[in-house]
Amino acid sequence: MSRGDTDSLEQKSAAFAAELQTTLDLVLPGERSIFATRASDSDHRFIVQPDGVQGSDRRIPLLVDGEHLASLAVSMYLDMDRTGRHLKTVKSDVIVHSKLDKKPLLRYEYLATMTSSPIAHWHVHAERGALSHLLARAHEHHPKRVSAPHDMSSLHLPVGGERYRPCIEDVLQFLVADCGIDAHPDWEQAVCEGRERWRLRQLASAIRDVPAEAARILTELEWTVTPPANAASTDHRATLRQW
Amino acid sequence: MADAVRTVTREELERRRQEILGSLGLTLAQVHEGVSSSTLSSDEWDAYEELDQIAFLLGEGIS
Repeated sequence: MSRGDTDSLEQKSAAFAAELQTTLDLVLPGERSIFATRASDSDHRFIVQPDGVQGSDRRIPLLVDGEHLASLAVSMYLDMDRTGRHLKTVKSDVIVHSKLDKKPLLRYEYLATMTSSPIAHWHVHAERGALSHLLARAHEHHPKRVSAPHDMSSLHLPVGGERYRPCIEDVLQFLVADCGIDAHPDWEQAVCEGRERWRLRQLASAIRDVPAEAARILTELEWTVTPPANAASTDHRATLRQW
Repeated sequence: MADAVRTVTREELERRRQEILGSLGLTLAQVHEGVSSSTLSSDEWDAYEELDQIAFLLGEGIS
């Protein structure tokens, strides 16, 4: 990889960090700095997250009427995509930690290479007797499939796979609208604009997965579409089949 | 914008990993087992998040 390519990846990771910074600053009160970190011997792996010496320092306070009741951890892992030319998020962790016991309440995780569980999923750290009953009975019959019947956080609640997973803006809106977390007055506009950017990017990626399907729809809408000579080799629909 | 990118050396990452595991008195495998069984303490959760990031930056894969 040339020096120019390396600089470009670094600039893209910095732009990614700046975009996350803007979104968080427009929604949540308080100050934070978002950085991309890379190892000196790697030119293509970056982690984008809030600044801080250690994990607990990197959490963003979540306030309710000014009272610090929870914290938000956000980390995005960037690496090369399948073409070897572009950065993509290969893993992300968005975790809401309780201020009370410092443990997770909710974890939204995405891992592009996941095979045993949904690529994008929520873990809910909560208790529900009736669900434990169901899982305990299932565990008796399928101990490998239902391995932790009394631990609701062991479940992976699937949320749309690689392309249709929620974005950080969805999580922020959930925190504000459903959990009552303090936000700036114009938070909703920032969330909607960020969500639109995210969904257009995901749409572009989905079209690259199955361009023939995009062409079919455009043709239905009376657009004129001409396939390239290598049209048959551009199908990557496996992404759409993954859990 | 380039100021938004920080570089850490392999030695710094490996040293930090040893510091974290030493402070917990756990091995890396024990931390991962704690995640699977949801038995991590709050400090161990902090450590797990950071250890995962270190492993990624070192090119050791991610979990």
